[in-house]
Amino acid sequence: MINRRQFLKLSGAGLGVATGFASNLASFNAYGADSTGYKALVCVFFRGGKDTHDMVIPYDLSSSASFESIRAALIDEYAASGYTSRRRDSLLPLESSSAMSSAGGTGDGRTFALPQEMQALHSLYQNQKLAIVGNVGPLVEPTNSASYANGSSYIPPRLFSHNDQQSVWMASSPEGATSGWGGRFGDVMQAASANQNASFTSVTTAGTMVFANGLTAGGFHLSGSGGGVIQEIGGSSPFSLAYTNNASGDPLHHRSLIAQDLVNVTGSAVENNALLRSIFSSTPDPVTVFPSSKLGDQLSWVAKMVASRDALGMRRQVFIVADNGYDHHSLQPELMPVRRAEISEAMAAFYNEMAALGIEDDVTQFTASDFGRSLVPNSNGSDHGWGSHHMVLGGAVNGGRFYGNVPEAAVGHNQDAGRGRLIPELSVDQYAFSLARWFGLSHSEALDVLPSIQNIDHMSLSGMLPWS
Amino acid sequence: MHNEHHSAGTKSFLGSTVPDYGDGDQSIDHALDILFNHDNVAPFIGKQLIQRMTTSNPSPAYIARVATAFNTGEFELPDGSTVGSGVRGDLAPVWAAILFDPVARSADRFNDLTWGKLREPFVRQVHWQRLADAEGHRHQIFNQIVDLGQVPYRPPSVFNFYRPGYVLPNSHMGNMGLALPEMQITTGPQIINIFHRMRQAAYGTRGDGQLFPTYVKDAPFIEDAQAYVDYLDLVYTANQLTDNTRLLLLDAIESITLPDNDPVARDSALWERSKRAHLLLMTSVEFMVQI
Repeated sequence: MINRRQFLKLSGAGLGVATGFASNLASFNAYGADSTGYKALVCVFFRGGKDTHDMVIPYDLSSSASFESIRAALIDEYAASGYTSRRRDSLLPLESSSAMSSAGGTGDGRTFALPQEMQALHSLYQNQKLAIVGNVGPLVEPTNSASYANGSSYIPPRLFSHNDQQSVWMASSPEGATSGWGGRFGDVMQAASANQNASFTSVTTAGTMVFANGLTAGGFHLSGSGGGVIQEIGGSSPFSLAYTNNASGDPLHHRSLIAQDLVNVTGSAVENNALLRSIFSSTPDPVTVFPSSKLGDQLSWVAKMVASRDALGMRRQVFIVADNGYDHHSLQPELMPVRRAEISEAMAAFYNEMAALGIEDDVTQFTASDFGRSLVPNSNGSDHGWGSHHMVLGGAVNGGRFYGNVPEAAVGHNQDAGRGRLIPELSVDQYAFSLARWFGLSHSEALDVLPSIQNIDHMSLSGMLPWS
Repeated sequence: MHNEHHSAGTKSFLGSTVPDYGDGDQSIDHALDILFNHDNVAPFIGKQLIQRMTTSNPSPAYIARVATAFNTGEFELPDGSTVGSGVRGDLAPVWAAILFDPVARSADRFNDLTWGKLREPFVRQVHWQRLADAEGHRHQIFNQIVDLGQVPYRPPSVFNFYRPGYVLPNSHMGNMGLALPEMQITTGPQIINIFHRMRQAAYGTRGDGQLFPTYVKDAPFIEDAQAYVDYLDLVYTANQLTDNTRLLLLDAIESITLPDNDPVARDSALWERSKRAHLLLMTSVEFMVQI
């Protein structure tokens, strides 16, 4: 059901910026997105640039020795902090981690491990539900240290800058972008009539995230805190209804376009709040105990919305959850372990809840962050980098293995942008392409919504998720 | 500054060079001077200060007038007197240039339907607190503002609460490529929270853990509903309430009759008028958008 307000938005989107997209809409149906059954993608975003050298840790003796040598100061401080350790004998080794399956994979006998705080995700890896994707990041075209150094490769804009690289990851362009690939996946699914409530096609629990905004799909804001209860607005007295209506009623009561935009945003919030309040009140709460952390709270809300999918008439949904605090220039040994545990427990709890609902094969979580960090530490932290390692988790994932490549624990290799900041070997668009195809976008639709993939081999992550 | 970690040698950036002073503090001072004296500083900071005060999308000419005040350290007021010390970067003339700008003060701006800005949640809260003469402890103030999504000095990251270039997707302004920075934190859950919080604020009673509005400034106007509407229109929106909202406000006030012979009931009715009127103003579009 598309209400008046959404119709106005849809028709408005054809003006100006979106004309190119509108002309593509007709062709989407011809290619035929698969919108049968139910599927959801859940992006877990770590704001600040997460150090993934500290997550996918070299484990074979030779690589481990090199890693421990380069990161000696940091590893000593981890040991001294008493919370946890990064020494080899404390790590959780990943089986078959040398079986790199796709382009760039070395299969050279190197093995890897997760830090000990990530027990829950380690188990899911061993159970082949979790895959690790090595060295992903924004790319314009294949790039290595030589082409980076001599300037012969086109590279993404404003590397190493938090706000811009968050935006490049989510939207393929720096701050100021208005649509991201999660929202654009939603656009395709809306055009294919996947959902009765277009508003909930793409959802953020983390405030404004460009990832969730499509050209037509809205980027719905779900609270993410407060225990899954949707508040009533302001009270139900006739007076409360009067002022609520005044703030959310007819935008044409105002000449100012800013005022009209505000009335539209408020109106959507009020309408959708009432609908969700009604639906959520009759949806059972998750049976899984989610950890009380920001990620845990947000993922429990996502679980509640997924559980409401039939009542809301949803067949395809994209979610994004996020937490701050990964910009560890210093104090990493004190700050990181609790983060690792939160990530592991929250993502595992969400997987378990999906399994309890019987839809673990239909919901795929994947991670993202501004950028990775330097391998060479600066006393007890590390500096902004570029490529990083990520996790894809779900029943549909061909897990328990690595995709892509994890460069050796060294400096001066072919993918080193300096001090062990990795030059990505897989672009974010390749990563997104495999997710798009599993989600049900056709080959050409996926290429359409990921325009910057054109210079990249977009098929290189095939095999991680099934698609038709 | 840890001099032992300071890198010796000369550093070149933005076309200037910091010589090897040996001393880190001296190098940092020099580097900051290079940054401060860059040509982009005045328009960069000038635009953002304009966005906080008058309009989200200032014209290049407006930015240039403010940048000139920054660069010269002087601004001439409409009465011919001068503000500022003549030192580059003096902010008094910058504020004067923003607020006394002929375009910002001209009624012509009402014909520009893209002029103006959203008031930030915290600014709206403070606006109400002052008009309501709200009393309370700082913890009560904190309780009040924590749900607004904008606790002072506690932005979620070094990029503050919202970005100066934020464009609202799927909107009139967004389709024209115009920014609405404060919209970045005007999300559904935040709007709902604010409705709640504004209601709690307006209806606060002494001892309920919230701020306590005294509404003493309302006394001269409140018994005459029309005069009260005029007063609130002026102090909340600079007389920009729409006829629609004025009518709603007048109805809300007049629906509470004032008993003549029962002073206690009369006080209670006056109190009810203030609560409803202030809540209606705080949640009005005309107050939330400053034109």
